[in-house]
Amino acid sequence: MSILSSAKPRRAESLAVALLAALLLAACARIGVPEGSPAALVDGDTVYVGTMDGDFRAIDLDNGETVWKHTLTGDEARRAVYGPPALYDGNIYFGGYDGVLYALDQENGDETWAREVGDVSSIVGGPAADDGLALVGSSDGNLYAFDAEDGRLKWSFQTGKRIWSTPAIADGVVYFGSLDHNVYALSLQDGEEIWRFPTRGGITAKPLVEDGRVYIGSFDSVFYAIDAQTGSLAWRFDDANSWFWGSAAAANKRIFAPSLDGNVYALDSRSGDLLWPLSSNGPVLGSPAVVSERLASGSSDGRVRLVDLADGADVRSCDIGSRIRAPITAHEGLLIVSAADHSIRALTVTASGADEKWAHFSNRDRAVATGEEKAC
Amino acid sequence: MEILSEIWNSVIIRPMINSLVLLYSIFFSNFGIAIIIFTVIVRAAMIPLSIRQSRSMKAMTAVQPKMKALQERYKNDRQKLSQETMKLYRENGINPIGCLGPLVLQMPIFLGLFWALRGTLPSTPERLADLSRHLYPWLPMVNEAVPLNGQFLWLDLAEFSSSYPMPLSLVLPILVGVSMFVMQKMTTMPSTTPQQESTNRMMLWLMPGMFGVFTLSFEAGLALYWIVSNVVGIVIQGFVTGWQPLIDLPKSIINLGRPSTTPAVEGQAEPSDEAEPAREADTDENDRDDGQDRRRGNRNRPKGARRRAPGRRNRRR
Repeated sequence: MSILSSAKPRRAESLAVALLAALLLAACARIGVPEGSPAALVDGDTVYVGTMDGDFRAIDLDNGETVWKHTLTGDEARRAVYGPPALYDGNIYFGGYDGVLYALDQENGDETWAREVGDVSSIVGGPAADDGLALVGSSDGNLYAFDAEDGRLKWSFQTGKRIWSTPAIADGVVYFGSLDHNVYALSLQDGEEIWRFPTRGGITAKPLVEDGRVYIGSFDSVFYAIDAQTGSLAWRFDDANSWFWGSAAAANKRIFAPSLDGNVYALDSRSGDLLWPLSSNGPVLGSPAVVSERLASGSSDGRVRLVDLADGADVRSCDIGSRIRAPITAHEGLLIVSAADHSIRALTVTASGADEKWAHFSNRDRAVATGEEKAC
Repeated sequence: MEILSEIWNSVIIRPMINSLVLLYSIFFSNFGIAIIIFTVIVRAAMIPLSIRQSRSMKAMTAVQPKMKALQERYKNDRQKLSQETMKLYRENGINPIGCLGPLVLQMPIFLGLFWALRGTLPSTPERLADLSRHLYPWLPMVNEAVPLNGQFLWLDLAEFSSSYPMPLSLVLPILVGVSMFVMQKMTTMPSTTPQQESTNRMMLWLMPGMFGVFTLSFEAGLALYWIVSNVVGIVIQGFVTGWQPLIDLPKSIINLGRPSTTPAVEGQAEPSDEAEPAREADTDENDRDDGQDRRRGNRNRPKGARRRAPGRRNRRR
């Protein structure tokens, strides 16, 4: 009896240690949960955006209130949205990390169709739609082209690794990158390969097609300008210190390339010469946007920075206070910014920087009035 | 705190992640092989520490009977007890926290491995982007290798173990649990008291069971690391302290759930009555092995064989 009673404290200690270990490991396990980095699309007076809470919403551009929302239907643990949506013929298309490509009625959010892509492999890039087709890359390494109207598969193209890049369509050609290190150009009509351009790293960015060239960065820390017709190299920029993840933006014969080394590089579009860098204190994953003759860029350090397009001077910043990983969307003097605190914010660009118009917190399911939790 | 985090990343995490990716590049772009080789290298590098820890624990165990006697004698004089205890340690060349030193040194390495593996096998896009912070920009080979191909046997090492259909999803948890059980069986020191025996018995089942369940919530790559680490640990332990626990394993499993038949090391509290027959049965075998065991420094003895049979000293006289 005495043995049993004296053994109890030891058991209690052991159980306490075991429970502590269980709690620690359980906390660690949450790290593998996809968060999403929602990119917005603005059409008319509505913002269309996937949220970090497993749904897709239409938000009123004026006041940030929800117009409609559509919950993802795939595997609950994988309900996240990463890529930007596409608008085509009255439908909004977006890919879910749950492996489903959704087509929703733009007006009311009703599901036009939803297709599990491949073997239900996750979708990270956004879709592109044109010429009766909706295209999306999948983590199973295929680019799929569906009939935009009813979701029937029209063709697919296999690459060597996951496709996390949003395709870009121009002049009947679809351009996209793959984590197999290549940039591809395919015929939109039938998916026939026109050319492929090899790099030495994975590619997640959406190609920027501008003035007959394809601009794209790679995990090899090189930013490339490729001839859109032939797939030959026009120039390359080698001075970055980390991967290129997000898509570039263009304006005034300048290319603005965001890098995970914390810089957005302003490059001469003809020569690739570095004009100026915009530096931040965290990796820049999302693409920058051009608004009112200024460049706006969001960084993982939680700030949105605005600079003059011409010389990168007059830096103004707005502290969102939470990691920004999604691309910034510009629309008529407004910036739509998504942050890791589940917020989608509309910022009005002013001479002194930016002024917050509204903030929509998807986890609170309501807009926060201006001034209540103002970031800038 | 930020400085500590930077030191931790620079000294432990980044070298480990870059080594793993480098091994992946060298060994056929197979991350399963990279994990196995890396785990073996790390465990092998820590053999001196493991041996030291093992010996330290053994020495501590050996003086437990004397410790208990001291505790009895000086139960009302804590200061004297403390002095005598230190004296006992000195006489036997024991550093009372000597067994903790190697453990403390190993902990950052194991924790680092845990984080490095999770960081190298990003299961979500944000974690893949985070990986860029850890790769050396001056080592193009590692940046070009990303993202790693996680396919190994039937596994995608970046996928959660629970994501496989039944019964495949149970394979890794079972392998983790079984390998950890055997590992614990190999490393558990002989109990000095019935309480300790009871605790050991509980932990023997609790830890493997818990880690088996955890495996379902983690990437398959981490499960592979746990399995390889346990297997390497078993082999190292086998060479250091002998294979007898492994040989006795089937018998131990059959006996589990019954009251303990393994009394504490000599000089401990009297075991229960049920223990006597087993102890008697062990005696002859112990007698036969005794000379050999002394030459081997008791290293290869099974747990029960380390005891001296009651009355044996009298018989020799």
